[in-house]
Amino acid sequence: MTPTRQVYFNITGVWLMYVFFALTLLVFGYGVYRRWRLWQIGRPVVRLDRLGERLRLLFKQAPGHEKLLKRYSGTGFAHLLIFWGFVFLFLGTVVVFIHEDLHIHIMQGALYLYFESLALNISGALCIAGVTVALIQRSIRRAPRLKPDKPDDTIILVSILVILVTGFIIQGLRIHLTHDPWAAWSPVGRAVGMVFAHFLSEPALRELHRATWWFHLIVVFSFIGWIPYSKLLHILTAPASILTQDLGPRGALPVVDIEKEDAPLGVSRLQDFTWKDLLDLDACTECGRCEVNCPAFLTDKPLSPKWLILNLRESLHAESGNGRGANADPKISPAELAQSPLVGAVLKEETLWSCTSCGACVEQCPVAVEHVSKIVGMRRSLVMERAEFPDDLQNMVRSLEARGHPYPGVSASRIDWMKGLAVIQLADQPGAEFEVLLWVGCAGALNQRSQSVTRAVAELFTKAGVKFAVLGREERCTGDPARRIGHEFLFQTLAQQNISTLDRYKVRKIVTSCPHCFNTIKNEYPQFGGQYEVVHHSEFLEELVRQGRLKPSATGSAKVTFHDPCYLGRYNQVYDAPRAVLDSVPGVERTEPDWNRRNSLCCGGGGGFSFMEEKQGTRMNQNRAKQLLDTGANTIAVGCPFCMIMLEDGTKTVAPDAQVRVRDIAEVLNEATE
Amino acid sequence: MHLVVCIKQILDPEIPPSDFRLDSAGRGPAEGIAPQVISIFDENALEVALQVREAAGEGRITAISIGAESAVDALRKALSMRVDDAYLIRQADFPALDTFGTARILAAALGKLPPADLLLCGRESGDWYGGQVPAFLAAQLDWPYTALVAAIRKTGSEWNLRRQSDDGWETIACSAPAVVSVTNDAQNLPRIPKVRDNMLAFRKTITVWTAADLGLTSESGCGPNTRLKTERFYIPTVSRQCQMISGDSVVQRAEELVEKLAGLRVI
Amino acid sequence: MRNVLAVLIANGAEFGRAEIEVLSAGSRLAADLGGTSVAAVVGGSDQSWAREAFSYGAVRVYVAGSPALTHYEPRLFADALEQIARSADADVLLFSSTISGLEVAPLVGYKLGASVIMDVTGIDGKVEGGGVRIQKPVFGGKAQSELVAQKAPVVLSLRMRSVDPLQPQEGASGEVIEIPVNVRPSTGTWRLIERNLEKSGGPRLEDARIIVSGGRGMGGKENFSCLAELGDVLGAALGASRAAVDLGWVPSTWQIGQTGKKVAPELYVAVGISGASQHMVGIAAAKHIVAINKDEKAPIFQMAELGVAEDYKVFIPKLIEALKKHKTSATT
Ligand SMILES: Cc1cc2nc3c(=O)[nH]c(=O)nc-3n(C[C@H](O)[C@H](O)[C@H](O)COP(=O)(O)OP(=O)(O)OC[C@H]3O[C@@H](n4cnc5c(N)ncnc54)[C@H](O)[C@@H]3O)c2cc1C
Ligand code: SF4
Ligand code: SF4
Repeated sequence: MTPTRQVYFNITGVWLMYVFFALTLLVFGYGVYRRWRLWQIGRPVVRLDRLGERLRLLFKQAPGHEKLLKRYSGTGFAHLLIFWGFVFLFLGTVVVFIHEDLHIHIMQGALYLYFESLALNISGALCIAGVTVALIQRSIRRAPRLKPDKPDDTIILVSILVILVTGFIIQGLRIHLTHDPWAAWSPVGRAVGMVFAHFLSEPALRELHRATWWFHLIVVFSFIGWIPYSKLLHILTAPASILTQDLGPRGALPVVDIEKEDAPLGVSRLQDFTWKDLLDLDACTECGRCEVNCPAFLTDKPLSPKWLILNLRESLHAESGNGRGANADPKISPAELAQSPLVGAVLKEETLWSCTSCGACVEQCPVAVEHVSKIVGMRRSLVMERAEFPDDLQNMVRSLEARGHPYPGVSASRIDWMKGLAVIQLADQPGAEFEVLLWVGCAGALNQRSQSVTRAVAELFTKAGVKFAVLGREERCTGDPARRIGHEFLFQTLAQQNISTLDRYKVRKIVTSCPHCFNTIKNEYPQFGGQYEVVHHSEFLEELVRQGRLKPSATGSAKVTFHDPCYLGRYNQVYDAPRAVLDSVPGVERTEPDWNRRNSLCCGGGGGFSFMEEKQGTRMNQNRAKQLLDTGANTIAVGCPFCMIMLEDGTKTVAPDAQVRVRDIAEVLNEATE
Repeated sequence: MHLVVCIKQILDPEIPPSDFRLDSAGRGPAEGIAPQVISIFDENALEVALQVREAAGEGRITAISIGAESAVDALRKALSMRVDDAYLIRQADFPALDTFGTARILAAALGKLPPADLLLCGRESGDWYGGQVPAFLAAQLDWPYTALVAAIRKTGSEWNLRRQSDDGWETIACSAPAVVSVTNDAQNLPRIPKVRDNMLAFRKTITVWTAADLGLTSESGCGPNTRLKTERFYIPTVSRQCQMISGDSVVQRAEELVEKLAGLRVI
Repeated sequence: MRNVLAVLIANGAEFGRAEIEVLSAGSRLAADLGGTSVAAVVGGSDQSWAREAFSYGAVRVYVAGSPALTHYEPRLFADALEQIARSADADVLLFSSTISGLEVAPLVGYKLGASVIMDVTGIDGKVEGGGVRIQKPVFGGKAQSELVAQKAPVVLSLRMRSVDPLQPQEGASGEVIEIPVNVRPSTGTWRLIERNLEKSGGPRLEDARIIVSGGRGMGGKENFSCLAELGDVLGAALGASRAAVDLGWVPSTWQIGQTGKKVAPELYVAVGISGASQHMVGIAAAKHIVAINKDEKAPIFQMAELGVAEDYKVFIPKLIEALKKHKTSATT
């Protein structure tokens, strides 16, 4: 006898199921269509190219829950169980469909025993475990990141539980009533059947089976129909969002075509987002992972990346008359809301000016929501269309416009730092030969503290016999601060100036000690035709040490912790090089802060914050300084001039008496190198 | 309502001291050592004019500059702030230009424009700090003159001027037309132009006037200040060396510091 | 060039430092030139102004006689001064760079067809072949201009605090000449409608001649009283670094620097401030910087002119004593 089972045992009127199913599909289809239509109001963007790569990413990120498990592994694991439970049960249903409706009898033999019975039993049971854990987490250990408390979330979990439990009851009763010879392959079902058989007579069991079967069916169909109307939508949108994520370098913001006559600059209404941006809004599962790593949220700024998405989503749905923006003025009709500017109606201006563009939210988000490009998009509209932005940043913009650096009032010249060093300036020696160009950066040239880092780098190069040159007075800000605050026009002007200077001197390889310059030249200049090999000084110095061109010797001992800069780590995945440089110094004992590498917490210096006052909440730099001081290190090593300023100030304020120094990795290495 | 703002393009006053060099004749800063910008107080004057127009809900603003060809950039900036018209007067036509001549030329230019109700200048240029042109213009035109104005309102037919005084603020009422010199204040920080306005400004024409266009000759640029002779023009040597006070006892060190301060004539 | 006319404009304020400086500079210049120092008084003042002018070396005082001049109005005052200058046969007119000086000086200069220079920091009459030498810092002090005027008339306004006052000669007297000026009814109107004094204990930070500033090194809110005392002795305004503001020791209006106030005092005393560049851009225009910091490697010493590497708690009390001693010896 081939192992299989009868599909519609004990059920009559199966046709009714098809009617219900058709209705469900209609409801489901309409729901999806309604969303689809909303995403369509967005601007076009190419996100279905390189499909192979995309699918690989999807299968890498979704099944293993790569991101979910990296933090909060408890809930992440619960979700993993539910996810796989759903995948298996879905496949199980597909098998039934093929077997029964397509009359291709595959539900037999090994497939029936190992997959349809055993695997589904186990995954169903694990799924129940997952749901139970999730329910407990929601009701007992309620993590604040999971706010808002909506009944939806609990209803979803409970209905999954109901579906799974009734499924097992149906199976158990069938096994018992049909004396299924293959019962051993469905251990959970069999056990459930035995329990019921213990209490009820056979006719009662038959009645119960039929009732449960229909009940199960109705719950399942309602569940399916409900998907596009609830948070369950993420079953569809999450993979869609992951599949259509930005494949470009993470550190590159999208280009705005400034010359286009009437195109809006930046995002002022929902329509100005791309369709992927709008899809993101529906992909968000409200898990709150983005919020937990957000330096602004952690210091009580009026910004939560999660709420940013949710508020935008509510206003998107307001367009379809389904839900209203939480912050929306109730007197505004949905239609008006869709036309009215987002900033003011849906989001506060301060919200947008609280973001350091650190990218932690994007890094943490399991469903590839792109927060930073949305925030910058809306900033672009404020800065370029409305010219409304904080005073400090206006001063920065003026300085960038007039003199190509973001430090209003500094009286240092770009070449002051090199006093006493023999450095080739290309303007003076245009024909000079050089191996690499040292990109000094505005901070490296003009900030008192960073000047000594630049000197350390130059000295190390000299010690290693690296032939290097600098642009000197001809260097301009890369435009990073302008771009992050949304001044794309100014950014492009600066980028083009620099690219033409670099090309004039036929520069090939660039080393810089500023991760912001590094990221911009490496990832954003190619958008304007600037193609160079760009390395961060940590990578370059590591290489020099590895080649034996630099030989650090013992200098006593120091307990050192390294703070990952956002634009080096998260945006460019350079995590090991700076650590290797530190480890090459004898006597350095390295410790890691609890939040490190991709989970590093922003110092508070990016996205324009190095040039403006934090007016709300507590200070981001003090928050990070605390974490770093907790390592017990006596040296906080950094690899970014903004981190340097922020953390030096932060550590002094948090622990005025601690004998802790903030130093760049180049300074640490230089001191140890003859 | 017609407001006219006189602006000057100058060497960036924030040029780092170590970049500052003299030209070969030693009469002024060398060319190209720093970017050219609108003189800071002139930007404040532009902003005040824009605010007056906004408050009134109507009016035209004209910007005039006497300068080299590069001064179109300054006028372009004014246009991007939403000034209506911009005129460049060719400075090359007036080789020996002084502050009297500047006022004479500007007054002549004013004669070619629709009658102005208010003429605004920066309190002084951010390079040579002349501080005379607005007063000379007022004297030449015989219009009331007010210096160091920070904010302006129109009340009836009069201008209501809030201006800095030696020990606070004064409000002055004066009839139109009038001349004011504008000083900086938290409220007249020049606005950042919208990017679209920036681009529109590039499409506007800037009229260039020669001496002949204004009915002037090259001598019109000279006035009594050309009688002054520059005896020396130099970069003062500031020893950035910090002198550490190093007396033996605290009391001695304190006294040494006081002596030094007295020597610097700051106490 | 011989006759130097010091212009005193009475515009509601008392006879004070500005007038003393103009008179002192006028008398010195007249001595250099071998000429006479005279003064003009316009505006609603009393007899005491003439007396004061004599005590600072003026030999004659011209008073404008016109009822129209009791209230300050730039064009009327300029008209009056033009007529006085002509009848006094003045070669050099000296104004103070007060608000009225800034307004009236160029108007008078224009009417007289004089060479005009505003806001000069030094004058002398020791020019070969005669004439006045004028010092004026330009380009933010990055360059210094030295000009010579050999043709009269010359109108100058003197930057405040650029002149050493002369010792007044008690009881000196001279001739008071009333000039019946004819001030022309003007085409337009100009009147003062409101005057607000900014009253705030000390001077405003932006205008202060001396600023004493404290940073994180002060160690606590209460320690700022020691700075306040130092400020009192020096007649200084008080400022702070952002660190001190952040710690809640002082109000945020005290903050000096990139995101605080930009100040241009003649003397800036930084106490317990390390000299971060964000702080230093706020004092880029300060003339003299004194740093008191217990860490002799603090970056502020690279930018200061005078440095004291010492705990301020030890040093400041002694400094206050020394200053007080200096003050009493200077006045006797
Ligand atoms: C965007 C941004 C904007 C900023 N804007 C400003 C700004 O506008 N203004 C500003 O000031 N800062 C600003 N900062 C902060 C700046 O970077 C510094 O952190 C700050 O200026 C440091 O203040 P401080 O010198 O008082 O403190 P510290 O750097 O901590 O210096 C304290 C000094 O006091 C000395 N000291 C300690 N005890 C004593 C004692 N008993 N006697 C004598 N000396 C003692 C120490 O040796 C030390 O040098 C800004 C920073 C950022 C990122
Ligand atoms: S980029 Fe950083 S600061 Fe901005 S929302 Fe995301 S986590 Fe927060
Ligand atoms: S945006 Fe991403 S990380 Fe943030 S709540 Fe939504 S799904 Fe979670």
